[in-house]
Amino acid sequence: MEQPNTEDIHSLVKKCLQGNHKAQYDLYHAFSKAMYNTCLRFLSDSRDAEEALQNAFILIFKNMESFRGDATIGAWIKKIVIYQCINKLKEKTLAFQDLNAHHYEIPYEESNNELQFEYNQSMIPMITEAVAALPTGYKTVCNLYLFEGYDHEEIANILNISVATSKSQYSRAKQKIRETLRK
Amino acid sequence: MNKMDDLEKFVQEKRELFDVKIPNEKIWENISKQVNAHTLRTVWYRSNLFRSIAAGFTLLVIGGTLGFLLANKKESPLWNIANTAKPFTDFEMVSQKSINEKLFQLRELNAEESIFSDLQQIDRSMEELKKELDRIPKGQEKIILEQLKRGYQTKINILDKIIQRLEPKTQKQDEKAI
Repeated sequence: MEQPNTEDIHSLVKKCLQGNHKAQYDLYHAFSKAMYNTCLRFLSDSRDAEEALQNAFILIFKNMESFRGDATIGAWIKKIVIYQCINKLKEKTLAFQDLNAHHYEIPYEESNNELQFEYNQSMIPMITEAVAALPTGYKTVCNLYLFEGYDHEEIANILNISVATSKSQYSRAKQKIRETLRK
Repeated sequence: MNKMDDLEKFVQEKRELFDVKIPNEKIWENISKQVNAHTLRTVWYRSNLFRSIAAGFTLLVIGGTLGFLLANKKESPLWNIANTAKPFTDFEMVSQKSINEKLFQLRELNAEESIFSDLQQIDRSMEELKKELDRIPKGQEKIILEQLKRGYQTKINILDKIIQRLEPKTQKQDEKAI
């Protein structure tokens, strides 16, 4: 489906609020692919990703009235999808408790001796795999920062960790991705 | 803002190319089923009839009063609904039993008569809802049954709250008497 423009999205949201089924279908299709891939990156399992996507969109449509328009609808949808993924991860593991327990005191240092790569399109599957292979904690922070565009303060709030932890986790995640790519 | 490294720049520039997997169409079917049921309930909720029923319930909650529902269930039109209503009839039977027990408890606690007469407002609303079952389009009975279920749950909750309030009062009166 062709990505609808802002005006279309605005009109879709309005129609969704009126319970228009076709508008709900169009809104879902405008965002489902991107959101499904987001779920996959967080959860690394297609069944879990499908479940998170489904639950997120049920919540979205049932609570559309609470969308106040202070963010874009895309950002609002993404936030709900990501919270679904994080809740699912929390159900499965204690990843975030581990994050705080073991890494809270690690100072953030941006590595100066980065491994240099000529990044090109053919490396996309390799980067995807390298991210998927990261430990849950690293992967979650990396996904939020690198792919979803959140800053460390926002990540700290979402995951209930310190900004320093978020930064150090992200730095380590990138280091691991580069190491995987070098192999 | 932090300076972006090569990896970050690359991901930002090619971000859309990372989203290659397509979600299964079944996901939408499941979402649609659940959201549609919710929408129907919302539409029903907004109807005048339900507004008046909700207002009746609210009045009861605010006033802290109640009544009772003791209609003869064998004569109820609910018993005549096809298989879809079967789980509801079970629910209704269990709920009614619980309500009867709580009403008996209330009598034992010497609850004011006004409480019982006010509870009859819920009965009237429930009866209205039951009449609606004959009028709504086929296949939408579930919505009414859902509201009736809520009605029973509300009644049970109200009864519980009143019993909770009356019990300590009665205890104190007994203590004083001793």
